[in-house]
Amino acid sequence: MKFEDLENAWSSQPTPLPAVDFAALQRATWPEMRRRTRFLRYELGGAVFVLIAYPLLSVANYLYHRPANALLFWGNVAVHVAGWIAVLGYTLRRLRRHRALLRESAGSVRSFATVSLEATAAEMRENRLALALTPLVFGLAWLSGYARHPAGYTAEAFATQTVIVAAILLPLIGAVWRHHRRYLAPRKEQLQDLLRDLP
Amino acid sequence: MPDTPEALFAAIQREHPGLIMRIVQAFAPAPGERDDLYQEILLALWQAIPQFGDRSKLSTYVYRVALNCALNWQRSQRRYRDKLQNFARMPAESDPDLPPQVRARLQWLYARIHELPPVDRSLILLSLDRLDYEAIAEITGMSASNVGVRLHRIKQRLAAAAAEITHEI
Repeated sequence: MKFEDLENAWSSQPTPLPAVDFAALQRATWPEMRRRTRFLRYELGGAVFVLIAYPLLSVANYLYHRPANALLFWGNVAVHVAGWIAVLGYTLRRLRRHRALLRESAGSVRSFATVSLEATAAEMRENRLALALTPLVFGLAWLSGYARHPAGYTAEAFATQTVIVAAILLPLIGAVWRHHRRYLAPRKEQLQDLLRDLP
Repeated sequence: MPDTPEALFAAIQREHPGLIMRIVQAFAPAPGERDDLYQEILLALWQAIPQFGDRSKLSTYVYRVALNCALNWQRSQRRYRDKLQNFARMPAESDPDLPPQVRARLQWLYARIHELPPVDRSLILLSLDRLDYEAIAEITGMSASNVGVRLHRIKQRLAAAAAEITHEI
C-alpha cells in the first residue's frame, strides 16, 4: 500500500458535521460554564461576603461589648481584613488567568499551551504558598480568640479552637493537595512535553 | 463572516465538512470518549466566538480551537459526562456507504495516527486535510520550515508502515 492510497482514502471521507441541536447547546453552555467556574465564584463570593460582614460585625461587637484592650481588638480586625483582602486578590488573579485562557483558546497551539502552562504553574505556586501559610491561619485564630477574651483565654479554649480550626482546615488542605498532585502536576508535565515538542 | 453561533456552525458545515469529526477520531480512540471530546470542541468553539475576528480565516479558527481543545482534553476529566446534557452525538465512526477497502484503509490510518505523539498527530491531520506548510505553521505556532521537516519524517514513517503491509487493504 502506498501513502497516496492513504491520502485518497482520507479525502474520500464523506463526513459532514452532524446537525447540532442549538437549543440544547445553548441550554448546556451556560450551566456547564458556570459549573466549571463554580469554585472561583464560591471563593470570590465568600471573600467579598467576609470583607463586608466581618468589619460590620466587628463594629457591632465593639459597640455592644467594649473590649478591655481596644488596640488589640482593632489590630486583630485589621489583620483578618488584610488576610481576606489577600484571599480576594488571589481569587481575582485566578479569574484573570481563566479569562486569559478563554481569550487564547483561538490562538495558535503554541500560544495556548504557553498561556495554559503559565496558568498551571502559577496555580501550583499559589497552592504551595497557601499550604505553607497554614500555620498563619492557626495563628490568626489564636490571636482572634485571645483578642476577644484576653483574660478568659485558657488552655482549654486554646485547645478547642485549635481542634475546630484543624477540622475545617485539614479537609481543605487535603482537597488542595489532591488537586495539585492528581491534576495540576500531570497537566504541567503534559504541557511542558507539548511545548518541548513544538520547535 | 458569521456573527452568530448558528451561522458559524452552518459555515463550518458548509465549508469544512468533517473537520471536527476527523480531529475527534484522531484524538479520542474509544467510541465512548468521542462524544465527550466532540461536545468539548463544540463548547470551545461556542466560547471562542468572540475571539473569531476578521483577521483569521474560518478554517484557521476552527482548527486552532479544536486542536487546542483536543490537545488539552484529559480523559480523567470526563467524569462529568452524566452531569452534562448531551447536546450532540458523534455519528458512526465510518460511513457504511464507503467501499470496504477505503474503510479498512481509514481504520488502519486512524490507528497509526493514534500512535503518534500529540504534535505529530496534529501535523499529519492538517497535512492530510491538504493545508499548506504556511497554514499549518499559523495554526500550530511552529515555523513553516520546521513543519516541513517534521511532516516529511512523519510521512516517511507512515509510508514505511504502509509498505510493510503485503496483503491488500
